[in-house]
This record gives sequence, C-alpha cells and structure tokens, in this order.
Amino acid sequence: MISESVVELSRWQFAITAMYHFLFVPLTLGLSFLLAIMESVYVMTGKQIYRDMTKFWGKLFGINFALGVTTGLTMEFQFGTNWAYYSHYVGDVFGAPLAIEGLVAFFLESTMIGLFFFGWDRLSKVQHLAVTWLVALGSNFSALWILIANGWMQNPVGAYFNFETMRMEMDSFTEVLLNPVAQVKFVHTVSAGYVTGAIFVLAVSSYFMLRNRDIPFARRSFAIASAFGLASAISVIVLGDESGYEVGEVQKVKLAAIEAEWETHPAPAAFTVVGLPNEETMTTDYALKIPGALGLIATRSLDEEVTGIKDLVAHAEDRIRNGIVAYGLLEKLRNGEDTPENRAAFSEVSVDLGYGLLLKRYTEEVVDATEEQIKLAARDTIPKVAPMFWTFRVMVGAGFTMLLLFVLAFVFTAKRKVVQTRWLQWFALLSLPLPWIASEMGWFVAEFGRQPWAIGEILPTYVATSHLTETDLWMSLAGFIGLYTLFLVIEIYLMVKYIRKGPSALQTGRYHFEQNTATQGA
Amino acid sequence: MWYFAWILGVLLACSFGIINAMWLDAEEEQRADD
Amino acid sequence: MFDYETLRLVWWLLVGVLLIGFAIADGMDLGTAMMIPVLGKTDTERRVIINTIGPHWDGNQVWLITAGGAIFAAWPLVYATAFSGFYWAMLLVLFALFFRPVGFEYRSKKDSVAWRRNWDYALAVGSFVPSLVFGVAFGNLFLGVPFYFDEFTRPIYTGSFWALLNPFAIVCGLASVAMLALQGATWLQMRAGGEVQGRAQAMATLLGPVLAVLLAVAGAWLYYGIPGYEISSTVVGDAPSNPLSKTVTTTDNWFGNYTAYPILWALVAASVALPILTSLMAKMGKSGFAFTLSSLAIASIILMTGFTLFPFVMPSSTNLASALTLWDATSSALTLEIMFWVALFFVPIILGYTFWGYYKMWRRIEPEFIEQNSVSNY
Repeated sequence: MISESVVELSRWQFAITAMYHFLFVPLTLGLSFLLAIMESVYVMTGKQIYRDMTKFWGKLFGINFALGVTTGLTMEFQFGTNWAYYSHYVGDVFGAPLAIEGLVAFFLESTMIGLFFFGWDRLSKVQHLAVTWLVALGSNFSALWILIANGWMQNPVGAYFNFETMRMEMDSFTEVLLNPVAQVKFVHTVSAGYVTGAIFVLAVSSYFMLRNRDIPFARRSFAIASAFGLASAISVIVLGDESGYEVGEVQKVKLAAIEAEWETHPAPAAFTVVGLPNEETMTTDYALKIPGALGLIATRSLDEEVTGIKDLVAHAEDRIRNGIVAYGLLEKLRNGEDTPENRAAFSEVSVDLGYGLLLKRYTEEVVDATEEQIKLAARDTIPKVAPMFWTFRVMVGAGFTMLLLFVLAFVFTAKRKVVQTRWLQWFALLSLPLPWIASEMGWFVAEFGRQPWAIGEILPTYVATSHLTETDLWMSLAGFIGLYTLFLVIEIYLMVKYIRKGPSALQTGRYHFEQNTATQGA
Repeated sequence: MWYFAWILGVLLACSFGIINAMWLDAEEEQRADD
Repeated sequence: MFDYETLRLVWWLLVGVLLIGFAIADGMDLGTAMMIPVLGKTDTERRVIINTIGPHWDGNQVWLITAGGAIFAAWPLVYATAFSGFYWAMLLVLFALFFRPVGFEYRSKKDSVAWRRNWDYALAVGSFVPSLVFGVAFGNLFLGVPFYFDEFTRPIYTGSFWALLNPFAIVCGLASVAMLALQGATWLQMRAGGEVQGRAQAMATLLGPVLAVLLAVAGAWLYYGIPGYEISSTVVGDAPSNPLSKTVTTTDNWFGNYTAYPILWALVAASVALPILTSLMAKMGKSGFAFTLSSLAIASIILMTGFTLFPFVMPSSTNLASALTLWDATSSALTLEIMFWVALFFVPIILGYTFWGYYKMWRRIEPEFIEQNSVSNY
C-alpha cells in the first residue's frame, strides 16, 4: 500500500518547485523578445541609446535567467527522483518532448545567451542581433516542447496502453504534437510571458520617471513595452485557455470546477461572476450570475450544454466500473492467461483502466471494490471547487487590470504624455506583482484542476510516486525550501540593486549617476 | 492551428514594439529640426 | 527504417555520445570551477578563471540536461529506477549544481570580498560534488544496485544512501574528479593568462598520472575482486521491454566481453595512456594538444565503462532478473525511431553553432582584460 503522506509530500514538493520555477520563466519568455526589439531598433537606427537599453535590460534578464536555469534543473530531475512510476508508465510518450526540448531549444537558447552577454565586441552588429533573436526563439521553443509534454498530461492523445510492458506507448507523434490542449496552452502561456516582460519594463521605467532620472531611456523603454504588451495582452485574453475546455473529460471537469457548475443547466448556461461555492451542499451560495454567458464562452454556441459536476461524477462512476473489469483482465493477461479472448476483451475496456486505478487509494484488491469505495473514487474525480473558483477569478481580474494598463500606456505614449502623467506611472509601478500573481494562479488552475490525475484519465497521481519514505520527503522538501528561499532573497537583492542604479550600472558615463561624479564603483 | 496563430501574433507584437519606438524617435528628430 | 533491435543498439551508443559530450563540455566547466580557489589567489585571477568559461558554461550544461532527457525518453525504466533509487545522491548533485548558474552570474555583481569569496567556494563545491557523485554512481553500477520490480513494474530500491559510499565506488568517484579536473586544467592552460596559466600547467601535469593510477587501481580491483553479471537466457532483441522476462547469473568478473572481443583491451590501454600523454603535452606547454588528448581520454574512459557493462545498463543485486539492459529497458520502437531522427538532425546543428561560439570567443583571458572590462565580465 502506498503511504498517503508520501503522496501528499511529493505533491507539495512538485508544486513548490514548479511554481518557484515559474516565477522566472515568464519573465525570460517576454524580456527576451523585448531585448530583440530594442536591439533591432538599435541596428536599424544606429542610436546608441537602444544599445544601452538592450544591455541594461539584458543585465536584469541575466539575473532572472540564472535562477530560471537553476530551478529548471530540478524539473528535469524530479520526474525520476519523485515520480518514478509516472516516469516508467508514460516515459515513452512524455520523455520524448522533454528530450527534444533539450536538443532543439534549450541548447540554442543557452549557447546563444553566452554570446549575447560576452559577444558585444566579438560579433558584428547583425551577428549579435541574430544571437539575441535566437535567444528569444530558443526560450520560446523550450516553452513549446514543455507545454506539449504538459498538454499531454491534460489530454493524453496519440498513445495506448501496452499490457506487455505495463505502460503507455506512443502510436502517433503527430497527434501528440498537434494536441489541441498543447496548442492553446502554448499560445496562452507564452503570451502571458510577454505580458510579464512588458509589465516589468513598464514598471521599472515608471520608477525611473517617478525619480526624474534618465527620462529619454525610460520613455523609450516604456513605449516599446506598451506596444508589445498591448498586442500580447489581447492575445492572452482572446486566444485564452477557454477553447481548450472543449476536449477531454479532465478539461470538462476543470471547467465545471472553475465555474462551480454543480448541475447541468439547459443551454446556454449562466456565468457565475462571484459567489461562495459550497462542497457540502453542492451549491453556490449568494451567486451573482450573467444569464447565458458561460454557454457562450465555453461552447461558442447557444444550444450546447455545459456538463455540471453532479453529472460528471455519475459518469465517472460508470467508467470506474468499467475500469474494474479492465484491471481484472490486466491481472489475468499478466499472470499467464494471455489468450486472444482476454486480449480482445481487454482492448474493449482498456481506456477505462485509469479509472480502475483510482480505487488503489482505497483498496489493493481493485476487483473486489465495494460500492462505497467506488462512490468515494468517483467523488475524487472532481478537484476541490472553491480553490479553483477563486484562483481563476483572481487570474482573470489581474489579466483585465493589466490589459487596462497597456491600453492607457499605449494611448498616453501615442499622445506623448507619459512623462507628465504621474498617476499612470504609479499605476504601472504598482502593477508589477500582477503578472506573477496571474501566472501562478493560472498554473494552479491548470495543474490542481487536473487532480486526481497525473495523466488525465490514465494515471492517478496517487499511484505515480517513487518508493520513498516520509523522512526522505521531509528532508528533501526542507532542502528545496531552504535553498530556494536563499536564492530568492539574493536574486531580489541584486534586482533591486541594479534597478536602483538604472542604466548608470553600465558605466558608460552617459546616465544619471555619472553626470555629477565622474566615476562610480562597480 | 494555434501554432500558426502564434507565429503571426509574435511577429505582429514585435513589429508593433519596433514601430512604436521608431515613431517616437522620428517625431523627436522632427521636433529638433523645427 | 530500422528494426527494433538495431534501434536499441543505436540508442545505447547515442546515450554514450551524450554522456561523452557532457563529460567533455560540461566536465571542462566542472573541472575549471572546482579549482577556482586552488588556482586563483587574487580576485582578478579568479575572475580570469571564471571568464574563460563565461560564454560557454550555460550551453555546455545543456549536455547534462539533454542526456537526462534522452535517458527519460529512450530508457524510461533506467530514468525511473536510477533517479528514484539513488534519491539522495541525485538530490546532492542537484543541490550542488544549483550553485553554479547563480554563482557564475552573481559572483561579480557585488564589490565585496566576503560575497565573492563565498561564491568562489560555492562554485568550487558545487562543481566538485557532482563530479564525485557521478563517478560513485558508475562505480555502484559495477557492484550491482539493490532494487527489484513489483508485479506492476514499480521499481523498489532496498539499499541506503550510505551503502553507495563503499571503497570501490569512492575510487571511481575520485577517478571521475581527476578526469574532469584534468580537463579543466588543460582548458585553463590553453585559455587563461597571467599566473593562472602556469598554475594550471602544473596542475595538468600532476593530474594526468593521478588519473592513470586511479584508473589502474579501479581496473585491477574490478578484475580481481568484483563479480560480474551475465544474461543467462536467450536475448530477444525485439521483444517488448520487460526486464523480468530474462534470467541473469553472476560470473567471476566483468571481463567476459574482453574474452570475447580482445580488441577491447585497446580501450583499456588508451584510457591509461591518454592521461599520461596529456600530462606530457601539458608539461611541454602544448596546451592545445593536451586539451585534445584529455578530451579523447574522457571519450575512451566512458566507452570502456560502457563496453565493460554491456549489455547491462543497471544490474540489480537484490533480484538478478530485474537488471536493466539495453534490450529490455527501452522505449517503444516508434519513440526510439522518432528520437533517433531528431538527434541525427539536431546534434550536428548544435555542434555547428557551439563551435561557432567558441571560434568567435577564442582568446586568452589576460588579467588586464578583466580589469579594463570589469562591468561587462563575470
């Protein structure tokens, strides 16, 4: 029997290390393109200030990137160290995009980043510009392959269960690649990264303007970020996640939980703006609803239903019963009764094998599961509604606030009134935490919403862990938290230090702190 | 194809950023000439 | 295109290529960084050392990440069993590696003696520990790893972390440290200026024979004192990947492949001779040759290790049949084939832009250069 606390602790460790990694990734994704934009303007106009901008924002990029790399190492190791059964069960499909990410994207990004920092005097203008664009492309391709892997966890297409090897095996790489969930997730996630980069540049530029320092530097940075950010924010919201909820059972469950849709209502369903979801009574108290809106958003039609939680649970129950049959046949096949009849019968029900495995949490003897255990397992297929409901709303709220900021920033830039408009600068500066809040909430909705599955409808999280002890987990968790806290403090300290210095940190003699005193220490 | 939408979107967003900066600079130069 | 059996063999070679790439490229960074406090006395000298690998360490480290990813994709059972079984060894490597990206990037961003000294030691320890643990892990493969599979192919590790630190494995670990330090020392002799260059030359001259001796000790121990393993059932190269479908027995030692193919002794000779030749070249001041020979030594040592274990990847001491071999621990034929084409297409491209990067950044890093470009260097 697997220990419940080992599963819990493994989940905490993964959640903490992944969310921590995701503090740095979005900024890399967005800032890399902003650097490429700045340097392109430099190469096209020959104006020194754009070279300085690329270098200064590049310094901040480097401080952030170092931790992105560090925490990314954990992600590469952790599937094996803590999710060994997962690694065996789906490595045939899930490992491929990870390995391709290294070969196709991460090599490119990492090699070019060294040339970006150290190649200013060794490369021609155009060569260096190409390097900067390749850094941006490399980091975005990285995101692409990682999200293909993650998209497959949400909606596992192009694979089948092979009882001889006791694992999932790929039967169509194209399907894995073109997985609709992966596609939507990729566009949504990288756009969120662009928004993060743009908000970062807007906020820091606003800080310079509020301090009346390096105005030409700040307003140009502000102009670039406002335009790039506006275009990206529109795409995050328009190309948002929602169309991904049409495919796969897990995505349907996620949608129902986000919207606290307990019942299946006649189409088109109403959208609950706010309310208090109640798990006990399976109702949402004090709900404020907009008639018809959810049906319209989720199904893009007026006559399709959005399935409610109660119906989804009933449906899961049916599939668990099927899963029990599949599990029984699997045991027979693996214990010497490998007959054509058993194979045929198994292939009929093997899609529900994962549902049978959900019972592992309650009994070792899946085939002898009681009615009550089946009911419990079926109820497990719905993630807790309240956290989903609220994190989603915080994410959307942050998203629309940022969109408003970009619209204002763009309009005021066009009217050439940014420098005089203090309240806008304050708005931008205070918005600095928003993209991180939104990204982390979005991550939570996607991954907590996937529970109880590690791989949607295939492999329950409960059975996916390594064979470790509680002590192992407590100690490694403490190690991660300790080191990560230390690094975060150092990173923020250096960020603040360099932001305060501003472009004077480049020691070119052209910026604020170098105007009065001729020399300043490094 | 969302991947295709991404290629278009990112090209658009980047050119949008480049144009906005060049526009600002062009205007500033004009003002300096007046 | 290829049959399953050929693909499995090809992937055994490709994993070897990735490990060799890792040891040559990232091994050079590990070796260089672990000697920061030893070879650099002043702040400028230490910055000289760090900046020789400044533009390259990041790209080089991806060899490790890609090797990890490739093992996940091509040998999922090995990835699952080794990483979870060697849990604390892996976490130790991971925690140590943490200090490298942050160390390189943050060290010179603050003008404080204590700050920089702390990062120097963090970089050195963060590079030494993984070099040691990788060697220890390989040593333990020869001894057999205590694990087995349950009926649902869940890997269960029955040993402890401390059992990994046995004398034979520690000799292997030290050999691994010496191998990577030699690589770092020859690199520094070739690319660092000032005092560092001379010290690196002395270090490279010393480390060559040390490595040769450690390899000879490990080899003799393996030959006389450690039993080997052998598949005792017929190998079916295209059977579904199920390690439990074979039987394994122990043998007198690991040198069965050498009896069958005496040509393998050439690898043993090369693995001992190349470090000594490296040392000679370093002493003569021919640093380019020394670095090349050291890289060849790494390739030879890793190939020798692989061919000695062949066809085993991870033998089990708890339940012999659970041993993972290149025939029964792989992905499906489709995954192996897709990954093969991706690797075939992209590895040359990667090598292309990596060499372009080295070509563009090629110069000896002199102390004056660091002092004049304090802001733009690490």
